[in-house]
Amino acid sequence: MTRSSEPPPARPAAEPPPDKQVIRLPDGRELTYYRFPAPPPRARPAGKEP
Amino acid sequence: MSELRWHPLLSQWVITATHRQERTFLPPEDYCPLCPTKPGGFPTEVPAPDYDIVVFENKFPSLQATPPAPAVEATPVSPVGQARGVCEVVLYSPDHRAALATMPLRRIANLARVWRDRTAVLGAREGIEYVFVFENKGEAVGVTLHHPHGQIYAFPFVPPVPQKELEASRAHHLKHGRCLFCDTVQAELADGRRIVLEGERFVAFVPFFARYPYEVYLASKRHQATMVDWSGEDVEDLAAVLKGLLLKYDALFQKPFPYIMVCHQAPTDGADHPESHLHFEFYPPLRTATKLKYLAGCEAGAGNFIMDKLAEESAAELRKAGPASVDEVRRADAEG
Repeated sequence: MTRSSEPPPARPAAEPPPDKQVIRLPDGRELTYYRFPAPPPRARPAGKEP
Repeated sequence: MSELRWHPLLSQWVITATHRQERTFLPPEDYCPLCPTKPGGFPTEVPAPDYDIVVFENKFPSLQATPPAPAVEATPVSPVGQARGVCEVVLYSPDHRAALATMPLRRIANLARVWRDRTAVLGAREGIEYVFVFENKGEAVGVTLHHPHGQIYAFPFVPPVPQKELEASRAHHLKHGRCLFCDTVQAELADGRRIVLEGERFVAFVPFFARYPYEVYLASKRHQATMVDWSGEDVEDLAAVLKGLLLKYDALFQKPFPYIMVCHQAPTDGADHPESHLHFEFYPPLRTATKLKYLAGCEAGAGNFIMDKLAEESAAELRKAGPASVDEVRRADAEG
């Protein structure tokens, strides 16, 4: 637990900013597409042929 | 018509947004405005055939970046103001039938990253003093679109409930030199009877002072003021505890569980807020599998909640339902 008498916790290591694309819809509203890397392919169970 | 009207008796703004009466109401799945726009298909809010996570300005906003002038004049006791701010919709998935509880951990963690980014983006805008992330889930709490989504309101002021919470936290901080919510979390962890699910960094518990029968707080175990403070490890652990809690809710009555989820975090008014401790609050409307907890005379008119259950009993029921641990949530997710 943090107490105000203690130094503040170290700032966490920042993650890279997300990949995003901002567009304007025809009526002027803002829309943002967020994209994240696809998950790595799941490891194949041992002993199985591809 | 959209404006702020001051409630002088409660010392708070009321947002008038009459255009919201026209918003889309429970459309058939084929006409869901939050699905991707398929080639040759119904044009939705998202002009793309697929997406990962999308955020856009609400078509029927309560607060607007360029609001109209108030349509009424102030009274001698009630000033009026422009309803300035931002209202956003966050689409969790292109899958219309998905739900936060059943999404892969990776997607939930990425959603948390989006919340963190929106907090930074909106909180940096001129005049925005509070970024409020929330989700209404289920028709029992007034959902008008079933596609999995949440909302973000960027307020030009700190709204009344977080404001009251901050005032109490500030008084505690001044008196004791400690964060009130840190003391709350520490007391719950020491007692243990109301803990629902615990991760390495986050914990879910029915608070000692719960007002709703299955109310849960989900909070960081160490002091964090805002989502902007989250590390990659934080969002991964948050995703596991959040998913585990929602699976427990769904398992409790063996049906999708309605809830209101809100996040309280530090204001973005430029001041330091050492008294603020980021946390999520869940207000489920059910008190049994078939009965709703209504906010009636005493709650709505006097502001005093009458709690129908013991917090300790609710927590025990939630501990038994669904996954037994965060490790079990992670194992099930890894097995797909």
